[in-house]
Amino acid sequence: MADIPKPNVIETLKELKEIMFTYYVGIMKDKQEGKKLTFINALGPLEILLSFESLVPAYPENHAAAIQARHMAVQTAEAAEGFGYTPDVCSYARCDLGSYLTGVSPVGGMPQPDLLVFCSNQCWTIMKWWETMARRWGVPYYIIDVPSQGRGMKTPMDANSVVYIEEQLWGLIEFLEKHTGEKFNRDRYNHILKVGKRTCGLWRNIIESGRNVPSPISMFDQYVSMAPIVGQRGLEVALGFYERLWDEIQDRVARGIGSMPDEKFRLYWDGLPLWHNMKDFYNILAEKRAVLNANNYTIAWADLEVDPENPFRDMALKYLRYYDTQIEDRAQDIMRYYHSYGLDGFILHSDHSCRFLSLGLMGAAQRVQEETGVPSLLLDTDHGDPRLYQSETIKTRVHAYIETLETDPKRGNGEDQPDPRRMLVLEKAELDTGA
Amino acid sequence: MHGILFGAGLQSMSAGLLSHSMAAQNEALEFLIEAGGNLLEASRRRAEGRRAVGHVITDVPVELLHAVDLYPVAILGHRGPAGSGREHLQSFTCSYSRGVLDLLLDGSMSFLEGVITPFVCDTTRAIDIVLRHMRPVPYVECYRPPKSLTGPGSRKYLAGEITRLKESIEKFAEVELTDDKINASIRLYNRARGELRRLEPMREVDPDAFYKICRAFMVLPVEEFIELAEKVEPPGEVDKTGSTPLLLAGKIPEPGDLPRLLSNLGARIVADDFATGSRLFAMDIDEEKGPIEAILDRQINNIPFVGLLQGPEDRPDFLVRRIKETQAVGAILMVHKFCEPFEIDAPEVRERLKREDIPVLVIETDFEPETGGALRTRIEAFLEMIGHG
Repeated sequence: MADIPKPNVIETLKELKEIMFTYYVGIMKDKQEGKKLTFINALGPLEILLSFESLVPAYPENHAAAIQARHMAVQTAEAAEGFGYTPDVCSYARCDLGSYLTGVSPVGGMPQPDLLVFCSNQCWTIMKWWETMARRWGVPYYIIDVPSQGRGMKTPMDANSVVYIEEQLWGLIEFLEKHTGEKFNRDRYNHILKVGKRTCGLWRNIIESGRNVPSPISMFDQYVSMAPIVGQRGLEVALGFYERLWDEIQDRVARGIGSMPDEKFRLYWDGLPLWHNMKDFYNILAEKRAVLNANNYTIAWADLEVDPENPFRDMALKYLRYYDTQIEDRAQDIMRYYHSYGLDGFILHSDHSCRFLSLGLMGAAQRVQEETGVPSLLLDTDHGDPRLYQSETIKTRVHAYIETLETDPKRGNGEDQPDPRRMLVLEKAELDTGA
Repeated sequence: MHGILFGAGLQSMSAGLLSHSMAAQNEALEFLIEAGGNLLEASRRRAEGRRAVGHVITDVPVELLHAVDLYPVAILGHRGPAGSGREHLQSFTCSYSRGVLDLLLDGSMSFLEGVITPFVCDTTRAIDIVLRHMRPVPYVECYRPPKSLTGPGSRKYLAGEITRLKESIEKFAEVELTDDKINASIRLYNRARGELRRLEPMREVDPDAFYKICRAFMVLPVEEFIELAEKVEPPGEVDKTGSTPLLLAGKIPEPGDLPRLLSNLGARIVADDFATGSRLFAMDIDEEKGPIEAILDRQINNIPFVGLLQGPEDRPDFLVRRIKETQAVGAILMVHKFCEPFEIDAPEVRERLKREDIPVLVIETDFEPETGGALRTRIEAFLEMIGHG
């Protein structure tokens, strides 16, 4: 029997059960009371929606992740496939759409939306997924189009695109005013922005604590704790939760408590989590005392921090930048993580369900190896469909990979370097090249 | 002579057209069909002495390339064994996209000096990312139409994007691009589109030949295409006896033998929304407006494409309308394997057609030379079910 240590549990995470229960009950209650249930994607401008008291935002992606984490993915995905969605469609979309067909859901089912909002700083998939719902239920659908620059993160922003996004953000306010009958409240919006900014800052601190040795938090802890930063960013409930979490993390750092007992390997994870098999994947890593202490996924919500002084310009710039990663940028990002998080290696999730994040990974892995001498493990599986997760195969591959790292003389020789993402945050002056 | 003949025979000449003696003897038609069936060879030969720039489908405004004397060549994938594309795009990406990278990275299209990729899905965006990294050609550019075609600011943004592309092409070609030059190219391409519309009835008689002509339009120099197409006569009165009028919906008419197979099974293709079919010629660019505004209008108002949303007409509405206008008795929705926008689109479109009492068959297709037996059986059963005549 393999020796698998249990993680050192973060006590604050136990609050999430009640927070999320209240969150989902609140959605149902608000909908029943006549508020407009508005679906939005995970990286969309939540703060604008929250500033309208007569609507309630909700996240089908969160709902899908909950379905997958609660082992309801196969039932819902198969229902969607039975309706005609091929198994190659994103498993978030299949599970959520399948939940409507079956009623299977860990939160009692998500009600039909009244409005749909999508910001295209994510994938085409969600844009089509929302369109499907708009067609099915005849729901008004608003798209904020973020054009990919196509030139990489370090080139000046395209002024035409910046102005376009700003115009669409104003258009969103008009859309919401029209469909709620409520006037946009700038004071409320400002307050939400300020709370959101503090919350994003805390979230960044929490994630960056992974630089410490041992790492006080793993990516599994981050998966579990990220729901409020996605769905309640800008509300006091999220702020309070992350304040307490940050306090505990600092205490763990001071006392040298790592998430992984007897931490031996520090690894980077690229892409979406394996919602359906978190425990199994943890066990695979824990057997080798490997902690995932750096990733490019959860940091996305820290990067959504909005400048309250000039929010639409700030959002436009960030959306454009984060949606424009080129292969070399991605490799450079990973290499900065390598140095600043003291990493031993890299697991890159080649996610059947996520073309947006997976395509280009192979080129990035090659560049990283050229520069650092450290190979990457490209893990072929799926973030939400457990039928594409073969535990024994994955265990064999991960363990073999870690064993190669064990004998690598270059292992863990990263020197401390500046934070990987902060280097990418735009200064406003950069836009003055033409906007 | 046009110098298109490759080898001895007219192997790609369709059986259907051979029965129409007038068309079969038309040398121009032979050339077009040959070119449409031998895309690489046709474009490679024509690139000699020209500066050729490739473009990924769909919607790149090729008039801008033509107007600076560049030779636009559509990159239409291939049906051969997998090449270097798979080293950059995983197996869950569409074979078209991997095929594009195969052609560009393995040297089959080394005659190109540049590539323009439209962002119409996550994978086309990835093609551009890989090309920028690998640089198989000196000039790598993208075209970014708005994802919501009628959303706030979309017209102004698109005008800016077309202007940006124009300036990029000017810089690469080192030629100033005036409105007069663009207008001249627009007029030529409109003539070519007009020829495709004139020949469109051929799709009912011999869809294999017609779709090859469409492909020829995408790879031949437009002047040569017009010269050839003008010599081709469309079929006269189409004999509709015993045939089943159908609409085909999808990205591209693949597998390669599918159009002919459908015809042989008694289907008569009366409409489609293919990126390499009706979307090429359904709409001209207005010659009276300024060129940027006119290109923009066509982009917004053309037949709906699954990757670009919220145009003036939603795709299911368009398909229902076309089915009624053309008196099609059914539709085949072709979902290109791993093409997620089509994969997500298909079930709701199918349901919409069903609500209109339109028989519909959804099939999964791929870049392959031949239609597999199981798929053939499904098509046969569908046609048997709805067949009339």
